[in-house]
Amino acid sequence: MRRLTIFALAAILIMATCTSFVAAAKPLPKIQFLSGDTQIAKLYAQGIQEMIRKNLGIEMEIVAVDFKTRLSKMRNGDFQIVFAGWGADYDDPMTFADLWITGSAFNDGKWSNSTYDSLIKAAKNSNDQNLRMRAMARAEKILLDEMPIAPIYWPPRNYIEKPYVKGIVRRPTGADIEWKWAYTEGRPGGDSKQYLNLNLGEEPPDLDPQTSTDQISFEILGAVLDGLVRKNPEFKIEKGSGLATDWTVSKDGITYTFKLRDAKWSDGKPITAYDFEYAWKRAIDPRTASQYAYQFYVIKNAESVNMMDPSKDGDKAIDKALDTVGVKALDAKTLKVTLERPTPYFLDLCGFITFLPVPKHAIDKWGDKYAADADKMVFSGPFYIAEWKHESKMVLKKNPNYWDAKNVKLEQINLDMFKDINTPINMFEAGELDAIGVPGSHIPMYKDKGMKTIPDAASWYLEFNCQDPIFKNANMRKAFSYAIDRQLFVDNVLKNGALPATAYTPPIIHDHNGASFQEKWVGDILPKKADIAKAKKFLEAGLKELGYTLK
Amino acid sequence: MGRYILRRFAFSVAALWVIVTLTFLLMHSIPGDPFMGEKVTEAIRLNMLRKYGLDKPLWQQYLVYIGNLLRGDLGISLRMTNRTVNDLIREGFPVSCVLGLEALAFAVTTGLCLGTLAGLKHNSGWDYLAIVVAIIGISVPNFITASILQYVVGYRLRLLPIARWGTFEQSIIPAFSLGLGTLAITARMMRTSILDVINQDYIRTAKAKGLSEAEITWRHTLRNAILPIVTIMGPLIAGITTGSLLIEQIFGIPGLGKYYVQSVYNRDYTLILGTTVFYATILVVMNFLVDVSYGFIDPRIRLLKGRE
Repeated sequence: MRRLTIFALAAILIMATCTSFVAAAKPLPKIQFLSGDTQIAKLYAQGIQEMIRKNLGIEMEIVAVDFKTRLSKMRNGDFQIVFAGWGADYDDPMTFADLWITGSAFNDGKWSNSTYDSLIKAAKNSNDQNLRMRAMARAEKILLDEMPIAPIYWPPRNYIEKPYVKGIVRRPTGADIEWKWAYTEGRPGGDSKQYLNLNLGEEPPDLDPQTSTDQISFEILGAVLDGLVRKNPEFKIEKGSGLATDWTVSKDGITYTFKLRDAKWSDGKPITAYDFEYAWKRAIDPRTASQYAYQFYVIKNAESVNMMDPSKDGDKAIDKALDTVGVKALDAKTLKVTLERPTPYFLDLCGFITFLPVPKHAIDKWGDKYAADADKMVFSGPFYIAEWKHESKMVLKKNPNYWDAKNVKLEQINLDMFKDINTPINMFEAGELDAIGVPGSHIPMYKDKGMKTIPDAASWYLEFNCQDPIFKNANMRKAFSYAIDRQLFVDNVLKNGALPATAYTPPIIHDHNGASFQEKWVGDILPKKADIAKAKKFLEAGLKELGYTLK
Repeated sequence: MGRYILRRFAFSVAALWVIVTLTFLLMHSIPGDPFMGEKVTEAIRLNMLRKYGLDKPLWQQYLVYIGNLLRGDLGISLRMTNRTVNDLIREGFPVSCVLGLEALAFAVTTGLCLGTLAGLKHNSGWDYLAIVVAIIGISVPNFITASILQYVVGYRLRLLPIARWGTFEQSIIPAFSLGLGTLAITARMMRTSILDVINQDYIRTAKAKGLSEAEITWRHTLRNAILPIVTIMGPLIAGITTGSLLIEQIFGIPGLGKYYVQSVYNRDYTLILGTTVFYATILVVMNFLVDVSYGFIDPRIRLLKGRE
């Protein structure tokens, strides 16, 4: 009898503890993983899904949607984890660091850290490069400690050229390809004419530099327009490389005064500082509705003017406000730019496509139709568009009016617009194209045949929604990050020469001395291989804090 | 006949209106908008929506669109903002149309001959050939045929250009690949139709009257057998002349096909509506023409319709 009571009591006790335990810890709900719906995007998502399943025992459901739906979900905070990436606009770590400050338009996970914010603010307001780099490096370490994003890989660009193709410059940022210095030497059949047959990939959607945003248009615009500066083949900015022969910077780094050279538009009119003032203000003017207007926000008053609402504020107020923007042509040959704050990378920005000028007389002449066709635009770069058959082909020819025409060897560039993957490869093999980008599927075929791999100034990461009931917890985010085997992912899933991201800012982004920011200032913070022990420790802590359990 | 045509016309306009309205509502119901981009801030996006009138209530946008449509103005493309949808169609359609007609001419003549032969010489070698061609043509997607031909005929054998657009040689592989499916459908239908007709009483009567084989085939078999083919011709012509995404993409052909798909990906509202309206119009017109052409081919239909 007594023994029975003890048994009964024990049983009740056990049951009670069990139920209390079950009541306290709910099973972790299924996690939704937002991804793109292209074959490649889905494959990448599956790679991540598998590693999380294997290393953490957590099931994720992949929600594959098209590009705009993914963006719309991200902007609305309607996601838990998303595979996302960012490409550099200019060669300074700020182009990456700026994303994660509180209230940033691109901080979709709504992560917020006041120390991070103040470090970035300090870096933005300082002209002391050492201080800037230190601040941004510290900020990046905070970012990788709290892990609102888990960097996964740094993508490469793979391409192959025929041996007779020389001097095409490929850049990590801006217009990513530069033909100014290209030429051919020893084309088979003794053809000594200087031309190239290349594949553009698709129709350039917008050749108005102030409103253009895509890489294809950028390639053309970089070739047919000239800006204040043009990076040399070693990616350095020298005086006299573009339309500016000389410039001075005030001590506080706020005022830039550019002296312009004598140069002509393709219609014979001179290129003046007024063209720069006009074009830059046109990009800042909210009535232009330029997507990349935010590139100008370092210029005094540009942001506040760009934020004006044409329907409420009216034309007069906007015109007046535009007069206060810190860009002014002092005379035809002198351009004065006043910045909002010292911006050591401002010269780099000046080479960005949105900063390339288009003259007022051209916009006045063609209006909304500017750059709709080759005969509705003006040129100032090494080449001009001689023929443009929409969606089919484009022919660039050497611009005799270009100030540095004597250093342009190429007479003609024939550009196809093949979007298909196999067609350019067949054309390249048949000798009808002189260089092609190598898609992931064809890397094995070209790897040992002279394929070249260069880094792309971009970073791909898992972005966590820090407002989500699960991923508001830093331990959960870190568990995911450490459970991912980045080396395995680039070797077995990407298979394209990408680098495992051991930090956030890609190593191709430089500091002020031309050293890699990541290598010199940040280092390798994340492990290349998965650290499962660490990941499980974080997971355990995270689950405990949230009151969840794995089944 | 006049009243019949008028009624068909009114019906067509109503159908187009329903299509435009449905497309308008559907495209605005999918997430995202033309100006949403990886690097577009919310403030700039709103500013762009405002500039192109997309911040207005949906019903206002709809009324504006219908108003412009009635004047034949399809608006500007929201992705290529310096070009109008009218321009894009005006440039793309002739290319798609030429390619489509070339494909059609080859597909329909070959298909009809093959189908007729197969039908008349039932269970012969011709018949089996037709069946094999039909199975291949219907089951192998045209982009596979195109890729294989491009590789073998274009790259390996160097008999025809691999890609690009502008000469007749450059159009041969695309037109063949594009037409193969139509060829198969035509051949198969023609074969079935012939088999159906040659067992009819009037053919037996014609034979009994002592008409020659050629005369029976020409005057009785073919004329009766071709009716079902004419029926499917409307949608076939509309489909093949308004472009094919994959064929155009593979060969770099500047046709209309890509816009149907790209416009949706880009949420290029005006281009989505423009291409839909255009395609729907062609389809409706083709079907209308087919209906009218029945009258010429089959006097019975003409008489019946006339009595209405």
